[in-house]
Amino acid sequence: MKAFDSAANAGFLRCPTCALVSRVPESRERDLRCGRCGHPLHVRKPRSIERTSALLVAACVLYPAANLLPIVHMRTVTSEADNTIMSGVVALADSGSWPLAALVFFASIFVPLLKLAVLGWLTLSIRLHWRWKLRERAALYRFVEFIGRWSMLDVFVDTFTVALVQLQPLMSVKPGPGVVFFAAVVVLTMLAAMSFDPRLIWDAGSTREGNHG
Amino acid sequence: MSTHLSVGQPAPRRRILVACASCDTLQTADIASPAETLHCVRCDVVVYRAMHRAPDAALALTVAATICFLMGNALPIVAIEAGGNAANTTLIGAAQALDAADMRSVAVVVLLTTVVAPALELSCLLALLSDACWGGLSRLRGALVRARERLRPLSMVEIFVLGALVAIVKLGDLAKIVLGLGLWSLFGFMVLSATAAFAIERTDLWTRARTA
Repeated sequence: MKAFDSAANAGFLRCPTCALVSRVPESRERDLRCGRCGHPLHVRKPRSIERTSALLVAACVLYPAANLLPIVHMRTVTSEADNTIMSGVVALADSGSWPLAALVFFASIFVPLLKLAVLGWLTLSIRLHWRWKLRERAALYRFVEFIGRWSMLDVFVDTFTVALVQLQPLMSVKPGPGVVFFAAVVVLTMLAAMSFDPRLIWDAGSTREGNHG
Repeated sequence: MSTHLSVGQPAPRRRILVACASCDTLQTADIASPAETLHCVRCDVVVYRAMHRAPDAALALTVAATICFLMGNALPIVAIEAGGNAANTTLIGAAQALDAADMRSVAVVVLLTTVVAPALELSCLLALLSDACWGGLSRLRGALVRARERLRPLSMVEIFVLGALVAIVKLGDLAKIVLGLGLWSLFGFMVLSATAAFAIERTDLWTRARTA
């Protein structure tokens, strides 16, 4: 296998804002800034694994509440019902909107679970210094980072339903406590994905014996 | 100042040092190559993009996107009619309805992602691109690009539009729904801002910026 050298090993730093590559100064200053755009420079995102793990744990704690508590409370003249995320998907499927039911299922149930599982697994794989499937793991991270924001879909659907269905006394919709937890899970997993540094995946692969530090 | 290339003179080959954002592999990129993008030798992610677009087109697109965004905020997104009752809602009205239902935290998240973040990102882009066209803001350039990068993932207008469409289909059985001009404006904003982002990625905001 061809050996690749990381910028970090070679004593270089890439600016995350303007992509300029600069040499790490000998003096080992604490506060390095990009000479072109002034962005603070770090060899790797600071405390990436710790931050990602903490945010993931917080998201996991809130996840059951987000799924079990009602997200909207709907009242019509004849009926009154609490809807959770899953019952919203089932209602969509029952009304015959299969593509929409699939879309909401994907954005609200599959993606949050996938994010928690993938980021948790990647964090663990870095702690264990895996050298296995570097390319695939990096691609998985990019996918999760890209798709993560779309989980907000359900929050917007509920916002919209609540704002629109205020046809007193015929029917009204109120938001339920589940939506707060759900929004929190989406925001926390987004922050977790942002604080994760994908270069750490590759560091295990480029650390060759006797070439560390 | 302009550079004249005489016929037969080879274009100067220039190689620059780049590091991959995904795997940090240090490599040289031949920026004289005709390829639009150069990919990482190790993980295949784009490490260099040719930035030869003039900023004018990106600025025009951003101005158009700003107009659509303002209209999308001011005009009702949809109207609903059922049993002689009618209601309509704007973007900010939707957040207010959440606030009125004791969901202030979610209302703040909705307002932040659909109004505040896009508005700030548009302001950053307008300032950056006018600087690239006419100069004058070179000292703020780094701060503006950084602010824009921070705001980008928080701006969720396209997700909001999709969410509105899902809600409309959901409520379609219960009541008569009329799509408002606001929704069409937000749709226009989505398309224009995506096109503008595509152009901005290919515009050199750092070295090509002219000084007035």
